[in-house]
Amino acid sequence: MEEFRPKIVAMVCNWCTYTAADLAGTSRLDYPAEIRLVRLMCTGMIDPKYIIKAFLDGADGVFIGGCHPGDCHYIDGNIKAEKRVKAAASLLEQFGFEPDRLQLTWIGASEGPEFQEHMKHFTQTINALGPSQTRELMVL
Amino acid sequence: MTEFAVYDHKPSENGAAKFFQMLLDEHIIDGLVCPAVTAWSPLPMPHLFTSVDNPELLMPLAPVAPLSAATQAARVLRSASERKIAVVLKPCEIRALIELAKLNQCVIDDNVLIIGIECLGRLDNQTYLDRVKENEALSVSFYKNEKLRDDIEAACRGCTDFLPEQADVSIVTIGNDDATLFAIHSEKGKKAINKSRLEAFEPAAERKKQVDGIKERRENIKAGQLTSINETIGSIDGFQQIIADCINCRNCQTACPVCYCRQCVFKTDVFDTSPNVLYKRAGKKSGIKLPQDTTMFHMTRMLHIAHACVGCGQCTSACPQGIPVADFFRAAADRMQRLYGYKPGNDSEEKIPMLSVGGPDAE
Repeated sequence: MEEFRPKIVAMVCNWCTYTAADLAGTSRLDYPAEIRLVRLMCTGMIDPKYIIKAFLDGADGVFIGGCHPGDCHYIDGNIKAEKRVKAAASLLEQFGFEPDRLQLTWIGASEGPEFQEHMKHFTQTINALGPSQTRELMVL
Repeated sequence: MTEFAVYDHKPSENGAAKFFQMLLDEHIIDGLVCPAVTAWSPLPMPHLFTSVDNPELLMPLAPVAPLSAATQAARVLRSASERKIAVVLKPCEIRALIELAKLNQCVIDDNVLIIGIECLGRLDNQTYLDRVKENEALSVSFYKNEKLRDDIEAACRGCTDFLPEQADVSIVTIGNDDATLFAIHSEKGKKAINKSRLEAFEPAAERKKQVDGIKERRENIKAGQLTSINETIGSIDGFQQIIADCINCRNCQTACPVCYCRQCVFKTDVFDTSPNVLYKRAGKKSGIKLPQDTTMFHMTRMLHIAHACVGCGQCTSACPQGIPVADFFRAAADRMQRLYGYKPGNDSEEKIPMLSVGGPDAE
């Protein structure tokens, strides 16, 4: 059997977490290749349907990284994201997705090493959970 | 403390309609939104009246709702107006109207008098039409004879919010022998009732017992319904057992009184998937079911508006495939509303959770 390699979608904000990813890159800190980064201007623009879509389309985990509360470039986008992600997490759990498959974390622009750490840790979590229920299902 | 007022002590099939006629005749209101039958069909549809010539046509208590009248009432109430208007709605419709007002889709100000009915459920259109053919006084006997309520819609069977507490005035149907009786819930309602010179009244003591009894029975049914549906939708595979036949017609969305976006994202290019993408998706999983995005549609709709779901069950009624949409929607709503500590349509001052940033539950 083929070894399980998770597919992880990470939606990160341009101003903090993506900059942290850049910093990790220039500092030569590598992170697992299972992570697919999607850069957004703000986590506040994440419609919960993006998360649903990722999971239904076969993602094993979704990571959302934004600015620390109070640091949002758009004042309170990250707080909005927190509310929406909370709702999405609740719904996903109701439909049988393990709650750990969705994570929201604040990573500031200067936190390159923390970015690497979070990515490694999240990949480990998803690896331990195994494939998501929708990986093979013909649903979307 | 709720006060009561009586319009007509004598048994009257359509006392409430006569009361509305009097409100219009005496210019206490300038307009009335109320279900009424048309010359062409016995199915009551919401109407906007400026005068009532034949009160027999008005059917405020008919146990049927071909659509949620909240959407239509919101159309009439879109902008603030000098006209005084009364809207006659079922409790779930009132809650939906209040949600729509919070979303700036309509204005409920001092000129708008909300008249609720104590609703014991609705029948689906066909059942109603069959019944009303046999029993012309169905709108009266329905509230007295429990047997007639055996096959109300599933959403209604488990509805515990059957008293229109958010209304200004409500038509009393529980524990009321034929009199045309109103309960007054607000100052606005009191003013209107005083203007119509209705006399105060004290309903029978049994009323409270009856209300509590219905509430308790309904709460048990609701708990059973939720447990059973939550078991089924506990996995995407289980969820497919319910929605596999979805044809993506979006009737449930059109019928939903709180799904208010003028331009729904599901009607945009975002979901206008190209053949290349379809092939790519099919290749990933040996094949894909068409139409695509049915699961996506239902889950997104739940995420977008489950917090505002008033449990009217119109989505189930609208489904041409017989999918019990309201069952899983209400399960999602129950969970989401508990998560946010939010009761839709309960209080017009209460903020919508998604729109209140930094509220009490912000961590």
